Amino acid sequence: MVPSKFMLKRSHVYLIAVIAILALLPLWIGGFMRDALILFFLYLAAAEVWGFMAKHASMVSLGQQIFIGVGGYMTATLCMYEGIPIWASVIVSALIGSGLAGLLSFPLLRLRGIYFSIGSFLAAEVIKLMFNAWEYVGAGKGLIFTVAYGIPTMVIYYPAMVIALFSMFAVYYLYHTKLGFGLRSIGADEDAAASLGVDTFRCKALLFIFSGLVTSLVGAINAIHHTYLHPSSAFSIVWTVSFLFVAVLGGLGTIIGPVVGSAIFTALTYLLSMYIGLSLLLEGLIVLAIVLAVPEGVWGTVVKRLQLRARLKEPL
Amino acid sequence: MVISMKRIYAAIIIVAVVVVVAGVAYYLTTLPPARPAAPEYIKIGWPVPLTGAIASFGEPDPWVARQIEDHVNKVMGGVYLAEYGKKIPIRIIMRDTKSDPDTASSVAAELITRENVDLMVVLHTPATVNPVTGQCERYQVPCIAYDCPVLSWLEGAPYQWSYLAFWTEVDVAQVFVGIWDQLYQQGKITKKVVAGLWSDDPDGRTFRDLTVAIAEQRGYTFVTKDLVPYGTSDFSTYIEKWKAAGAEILTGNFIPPDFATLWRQCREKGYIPKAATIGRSVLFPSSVEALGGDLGVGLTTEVWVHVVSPFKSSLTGQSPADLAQAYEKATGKQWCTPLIFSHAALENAIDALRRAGSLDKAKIRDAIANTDLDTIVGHINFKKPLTEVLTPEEYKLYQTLAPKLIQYQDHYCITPVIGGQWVRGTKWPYELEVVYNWKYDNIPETALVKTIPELLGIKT
Repeated sequence: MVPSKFMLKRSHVYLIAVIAILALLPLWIGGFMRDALILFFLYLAAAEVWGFMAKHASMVSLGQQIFIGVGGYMTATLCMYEGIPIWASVIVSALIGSGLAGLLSFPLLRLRGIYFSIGSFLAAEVIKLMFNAWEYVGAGKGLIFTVAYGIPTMVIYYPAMVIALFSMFAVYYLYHTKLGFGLRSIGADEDAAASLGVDTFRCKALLFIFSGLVTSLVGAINAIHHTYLHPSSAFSIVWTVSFLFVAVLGGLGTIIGPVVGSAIFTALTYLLSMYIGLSLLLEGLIVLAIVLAVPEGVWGTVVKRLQLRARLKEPL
Repeated sequence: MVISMKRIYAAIIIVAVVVVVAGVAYYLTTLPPARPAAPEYIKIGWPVPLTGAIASFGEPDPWVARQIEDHVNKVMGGVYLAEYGKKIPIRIIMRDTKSDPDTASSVAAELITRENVDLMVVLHTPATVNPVTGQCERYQVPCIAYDCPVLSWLEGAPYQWSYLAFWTEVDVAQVFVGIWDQLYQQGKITKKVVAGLWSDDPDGRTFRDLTVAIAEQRGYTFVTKDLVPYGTSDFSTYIEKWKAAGAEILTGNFIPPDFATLWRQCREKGYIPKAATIGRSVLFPSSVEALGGDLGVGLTTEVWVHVVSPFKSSLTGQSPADLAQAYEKATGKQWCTPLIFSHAALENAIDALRRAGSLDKAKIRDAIANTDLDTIVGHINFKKPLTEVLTPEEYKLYQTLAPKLIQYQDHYCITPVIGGQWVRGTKWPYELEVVYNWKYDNIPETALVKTIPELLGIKT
């Protein structure tokens, strides 16, 4: 067994190498792989946070699409109608998204368990209807993000990568902070945590705000990537279901799990796209098979089978 | 935390190696390739809504793709490209958009980056067309779009690489009012009072504004001009209002399930208007049948192209009637307008490829821009100025109601839209009669427009 100090430093070297490879990758892979990697990063970023919320803080949100939509719409409108540079719009819209998460915390975090899930889903539906009627964002017409035509995927790749890494590191860091301990105690037993002096509302609200920030960034990049926004698509529950898939496929409550999950999910999406009409059915069957075969997720099972747990620093 | 120099060196060496490898690989991939031999296929990308809410639009497309592929590759032996000095077969690569704009974007990007399509064809509503043309603009791939109302597409203007052929919303509103004028002239309606209600969405909003503006100019008054959210289940207050005001005309533009709810409630409450002119919800025989009972009888709607239209395919020489017959024979399904439009879009694509004589994207784009072709949905020319296409009065209408149509006229072409009425058919449960050909005298009217009570055999 190697001493842990040694491990830590070697892991830094690995990390730098991985980041360097990721940063250089788009220079020589084709446009298609670039596109697929952007999708991979975006799902990864959002699923990391979703997985932590669901597994450790028992906040199974079904309303993450709120932030996908708000992040995307705000970026497009700030950039096109208010003349703010596109990347500044991304940052501002992420702040708006996290602010909205803060506001939503007051009603939503009074609810627990399944009630929180339902509440977050209904909040998303209400916000969808509001965007559907809001003339400024094009109401039900949708919004064509013409400025984004000119942004090549080569450029979009980097913010997507940074958001995914940011999300992974932030969640990793979260495990080892006071806030993280507070949240995990809430996940174990909220009443007990409160009686031990954990400010449960504050902890949960901070996590929800953080999830709003990351998911809005994902929405913003997705809007630039896809150039068209419509309430029915931007605020669709399909987004949250995808994050759920990614987190559960990989292994809920781990850092590496969503990486594996997002890779599988993205690969499935593209591999199956040519089986027209059958793709949804096949995707469903494959995901079902994976979940039945490895209920702890692919990464979760690998860790268990190879008895890696002792060698990996929690929560990898 | 102590990091030894050794570790730092190791990190630097790894990074350096990666940088060098990446640099060499990048250099190798950017070397100019040798002059390419003629490709095996010309690849045409085609994102289609095959599943989901608007799947009825995409239903005929797999058949259309096969028909065109067979015709071009087997009968014509491919498309002659001057650049290679020979005929090259085509391959149409379809992807399912699942009726979702975000998926449409993804699959369009996939077709461009993975399949390296030479040009894109896209049809069927803004939810499919807008995101796909967006990707074509980004990747600078020529795109031919059909079957998407022009105004809602122009939200994404200016375009560099995309061209659209379809009717404008202003034209459809004129056709709607024109149908009522016909009834009024025949003395079948006596009061120009209209009940208006629209879905609260892009088409709903646009059509409300335009229909109201044009109808009011011609002396019609509206009892209601409201927008209703999706899934509205109780329309009784509206129906009472319409009955009280004696509104003989009902008009609107809805998603199909909402119109079905509204129309059933109208019947239950005994409100049978003389005319019900409805956009979007009753375009296809399947959606008319889905209303149930005799509820489909007498509904009037916009018709983009009809089997009696006097056009001919530039590829197969088929008329719309021939194409419809071939489709019905092959699939056992009743023809619908998207069938004919999908054929036309591919006609346009093959014509542009032939004239470009090259797979250079800019050359294909320029060839599309210079299209001057008689297709199965009418004459397509993107360059013809609107002043030559429209009468001065219509031009003024465009100017006041939708100036964007004038501003971006060089990227779209108007196709003829006429008025149709659903009646009980002989071969199929419902068939579409042309009851108002508007300004297109070459398209024969197949029946006089009748009132709904008249067709139902109800005395009023």
